[in-house]
Amino acid sequence: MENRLKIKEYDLKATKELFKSYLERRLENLSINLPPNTVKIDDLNRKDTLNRLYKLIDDLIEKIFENGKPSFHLPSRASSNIIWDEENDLLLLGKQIMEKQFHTLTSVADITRLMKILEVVHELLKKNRHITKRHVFYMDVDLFKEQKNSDKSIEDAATMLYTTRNATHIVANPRGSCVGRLRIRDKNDIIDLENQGSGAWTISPMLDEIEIIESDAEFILVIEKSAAMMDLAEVRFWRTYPCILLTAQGVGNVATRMFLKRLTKELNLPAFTLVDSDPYGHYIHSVYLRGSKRLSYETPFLATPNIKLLGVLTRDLDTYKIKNDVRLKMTKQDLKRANDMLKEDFVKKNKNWEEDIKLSIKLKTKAEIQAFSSKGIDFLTETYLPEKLTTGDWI
Amino acid sequence: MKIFYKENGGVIQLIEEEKIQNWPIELSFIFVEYIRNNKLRSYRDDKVQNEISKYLDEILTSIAIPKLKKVFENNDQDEIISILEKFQELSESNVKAANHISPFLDNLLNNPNKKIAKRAKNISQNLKS
Repeated sequence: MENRLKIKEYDLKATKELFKSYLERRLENLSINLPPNTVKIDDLNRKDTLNRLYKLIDDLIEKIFENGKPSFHLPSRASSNIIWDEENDLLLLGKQIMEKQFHTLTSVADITRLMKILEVVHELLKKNRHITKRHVFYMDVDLFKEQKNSDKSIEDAATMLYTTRNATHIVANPRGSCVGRLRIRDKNDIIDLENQGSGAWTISPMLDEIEIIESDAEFILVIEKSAAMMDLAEVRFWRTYPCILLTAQGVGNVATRMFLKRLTKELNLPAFTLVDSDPYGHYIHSVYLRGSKRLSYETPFLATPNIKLLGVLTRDLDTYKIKNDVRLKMTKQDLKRANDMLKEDFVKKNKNWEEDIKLSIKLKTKAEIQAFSSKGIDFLTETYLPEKLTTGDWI
Repeated sequence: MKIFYKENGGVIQLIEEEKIQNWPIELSFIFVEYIRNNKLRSYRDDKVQNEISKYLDEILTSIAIPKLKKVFENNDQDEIISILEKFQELSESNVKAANHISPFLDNLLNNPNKKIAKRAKNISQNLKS
């Protein structure tokens, strides 16, 4: 397909400088020092996960011999045990431990489900297979009743093994996609993400099989909407501006966030989000930035603390003269979400971000990325994005 | 990643040797030929092209070929058959990558183990065609 972008008018100076600074600091970025009051988990390979599983079962058998009252201990995932690590700007799991006993009537269903999951994980690891969470639910519908129960047991199992959910080989349905200046290998196949026709590579949830082998990208753009991704892919945006584009079509799922984390860590690339100018868009950015509360135990492998909110910022709507007829009025729910975000410590710490959310509440206005179409079909790709990436106008 | 800097400020990053060391043998050859044939010219920078070309040579001479040589020296029949099966498959789709086995084929064609001799013959024919 022909590259339809006009001659390059922007040098992306600010973005290039950011990339250069990341490359210079690359050794420092390799590890995050977690606070002592948080749980440390490891992204294990198949063999190490199996060993950890065997150790867990050995300990259980020992308890049976000791007192006949076996139990599991695992970090609590209750909201009271979720800690915001100010230094690294991450949501992490604290050290509160909960006990799951085998011998009480109240916990019998819960523990039976958990044991079933451990049995499934064992089989998957032994056979080097992966299955989805939905698939696990259907393995024993009578036992799990609803998928939320099997999902909870899967997360309990991963927490108990002090590893990521992906390490258990139970994965979510693929949802994210990626395209641009990147070559990866999936087993023995080399995949060129620049040559994906008019589509994109579906981010495989089996990330343990994926390895980054080559890239000449200089930044990553994470896009909320697949429609905007399609616009950028159609004009081959990465040919003019060397980048990698990603979308998860909404809130980033585990595979997309983990893949993004790996890209930024291994390639030292600056990453930016392009989301709708509304509180939900800001929330999507925050999940990429510092993780979600539900998966806080996996945060070090899912969050990208350096990611910048490129747009669409509330202030952009005036700067780029977006007409009122393509702006939308914020609903009560939007205003509540915006006010809730202002209470979050990670927003309070970032004055630029706080100001933009306050401005949206004051104006009671929001806009979708597609609102830029009112300025012309190529305005987003030829003006808005290159200009912001050149001037460094991000949060 | 191993980083190469272009004159115009651009950057090329390639997977480092330590990771390639853990790859299946045939994948190292696939990778080297892939970069050489599909990417090298697109970098459009003589200095970087030379540096990357040297890096690819180094992967061949210090990782891929020694690992392949070791398989044949160890004389473990099952291991040899397994690697020949992989190279036979490779020779059907990627002659350039598979061609790196050529120097070892002559000895294998007369191997008393019929499975080994047959596989070697098949690879040899695929490479010639």
